[in-house]
Amino acid sequence: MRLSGRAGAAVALLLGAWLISPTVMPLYDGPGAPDQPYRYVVPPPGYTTKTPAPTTASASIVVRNGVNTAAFANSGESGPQVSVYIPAGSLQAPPGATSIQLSAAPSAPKAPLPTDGTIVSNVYTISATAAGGDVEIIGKGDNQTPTLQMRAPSSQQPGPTFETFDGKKWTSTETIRVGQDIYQTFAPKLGVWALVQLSTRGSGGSGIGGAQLAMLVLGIAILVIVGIIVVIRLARSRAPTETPAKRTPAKRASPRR
Amino acid sequence: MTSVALDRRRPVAGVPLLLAFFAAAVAVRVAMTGPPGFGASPWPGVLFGVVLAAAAVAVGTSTRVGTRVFVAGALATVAIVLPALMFSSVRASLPVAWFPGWMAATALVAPAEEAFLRGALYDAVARRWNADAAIVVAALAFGFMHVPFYGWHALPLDTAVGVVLGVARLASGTWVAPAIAHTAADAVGWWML
Repeated sequence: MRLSGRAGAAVALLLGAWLISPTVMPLYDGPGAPDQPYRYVVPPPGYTTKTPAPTTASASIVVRNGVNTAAFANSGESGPQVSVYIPAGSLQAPPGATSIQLSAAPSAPKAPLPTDGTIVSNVYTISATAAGGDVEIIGKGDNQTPTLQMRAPSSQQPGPTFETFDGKKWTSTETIRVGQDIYQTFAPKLGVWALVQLSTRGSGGSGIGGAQLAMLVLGIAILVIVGIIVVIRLARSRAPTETPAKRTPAKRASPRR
Repeated sequence: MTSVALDRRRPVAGVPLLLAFFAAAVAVRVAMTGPPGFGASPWPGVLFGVVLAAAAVAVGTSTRVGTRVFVAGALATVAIVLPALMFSSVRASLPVAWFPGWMAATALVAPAEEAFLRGALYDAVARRWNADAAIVVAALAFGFMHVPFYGWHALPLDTAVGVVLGVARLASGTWVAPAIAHTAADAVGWWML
């Protein structure tokens, strides 16, 4: 295949991969950026780190033709503990409204709590208002449904799952991991959301730590072994090649006559 | 074109050895990354880059710079970044003050990854089979490298990005072109978080 053919195939493959990948995929990887310690409204028992209060994510969204333009609302922590993405056309504004106020406000978990696990993040209440009234989500499908991201307090795996509260019970939603400690879900409705560590997945405590230690030890051992092999081969390849001993040409026996 | 080729007559490491080394380096990085409560520390990533760079230097790979290399790097950057801007958006949620330090670390780690994957590993696979196999193997290694950090759903996209970087390697004849594209794409990616 010619180079241009390979390049075309590679670009087609990339476009196809984007089409099947979840929205807001992390493109950046690099060495990673350090997060601030998680800020709780009410820290869980044993969390001794002193932090400022968590912040509210808020944004004023411009309305055009009765619907919203695309907008983000990120909370102020580094990295943001909550981030809401509202695609264009997903919110229906009341007649005459020129802007929509979007916010995701933190609060402490309170009863009733999820029955299938433990809330590990703050509880965030997401709301959108315009002209004093609530705004409804009208967007359907992956392209017009709001996206919610939350940072978990820990990068330990297995990670938590998004759950939303409808006033009576908590319901889990499909959750994907989009960063080391960042999780994403579609939010077809606003309201109350939190990250829940499901009890069936285990606490991720000492087991994960043991697995990480084993991986670390095994990984270092392999690195050392491969390093030694490469060094030996390098030394051999650089060693002067054996030259055949000089031999004095044997005297030709004088031909017999 | 300036050439600093490090080709050797006999390879000091074959494909299995390089893949084992890479898997071990990824495992160590994953095991070291992120104490609970603080997300990702940059140091495991930097150490990972140093280890890969050292391996690439030890094994040896072709290092060249020149117009063709920069053009290939720039085209690969456009190919990677343009769909990202089409399918995603610029969030700029991270503090701008962090960018210089993060970028400095990325400018070490991304080229180191390329020197190993599209340099040493690519050369070994191409020597054993051919360039297409080298593109695919390096891209798969690149894709699987990201799975521990982002999950399996990241595999198709990161592997496809790896294929684009591999074509840039093939077009330019050196890992420097994909290193340019990788670093530039990471820099753009910062603003998309």
